Amino acid sequence: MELGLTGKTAAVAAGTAGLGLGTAKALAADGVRVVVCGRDENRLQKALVEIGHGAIGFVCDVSTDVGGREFAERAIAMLGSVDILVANGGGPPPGGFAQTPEAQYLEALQKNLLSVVAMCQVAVPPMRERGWGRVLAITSVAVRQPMNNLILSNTARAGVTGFLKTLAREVAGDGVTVNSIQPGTHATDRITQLYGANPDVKAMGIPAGIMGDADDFGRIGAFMCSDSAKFMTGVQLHVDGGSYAGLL
Amino acid sequence: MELGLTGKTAAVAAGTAGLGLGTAKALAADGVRVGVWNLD
Repeated sequence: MELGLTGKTAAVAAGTAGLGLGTAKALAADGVRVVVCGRDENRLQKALVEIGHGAIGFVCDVSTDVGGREFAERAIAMLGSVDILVANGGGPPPGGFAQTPEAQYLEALQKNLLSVVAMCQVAVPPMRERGWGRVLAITSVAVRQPMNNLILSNTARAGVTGFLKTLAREVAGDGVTVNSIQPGTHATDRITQLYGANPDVKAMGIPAGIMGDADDFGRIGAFMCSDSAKFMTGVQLHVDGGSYAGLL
Repeated sequence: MELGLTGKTAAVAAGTAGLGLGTAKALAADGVRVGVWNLD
């Protein structure tokens, strides 16, 4: 399938591992010039080799609004412009209501809401001026169906989804789409962090009977950034092997 | 993007016009053997 992305540019936040890396690889494979960031220099260098196609990157922590803004600004400086913004970042620590002090909510909102807002504030206005742009945020299926013991993620990512939906409608007339992709359980470091090195996939209750693959996820994301997806905006797409049980 | 569909088969109901036709065309372009039918 021709995605119509050859020559476009993309900034993929936290694109050195997991779902961000999968998305960066898929975009690069379809002719997009990609810049990624991550917090660790060694992992960044390994990721750039894995992404290939001339991808570039730098060390940057996007867990705050300051970091998100820095990433978007440096990405534009390095690429000349950013056509595609993949707003991604690590999740907050697990915990329920009883274990989570108020201060941690502020950190989670920085990490999973305000960082995305800051990236969009930098990247979206030039997209509107050029009449073409894509914002794709990687969130979580927990937005749709909050998960036990992840109260910070459930809260912050629901907030960012409201932001993205509002933004989508505001910029739709300028050729800019804004969507989010909601991963369920994928075989990434985050799952190892939450469930250990050898999680019991059966116990996770995923109807598909497998964990998701980051490269497959990335290709779905790449399609959402494609020219053919120009009429798709304000969407929250869950990619979860059937875990979410609701209709909408 | 390689979709991994080469050699697969698809039946596209009401695939002779509109969105069904668009879907049939996309599948066929990616190597799927497509069957379509409609009322006319």
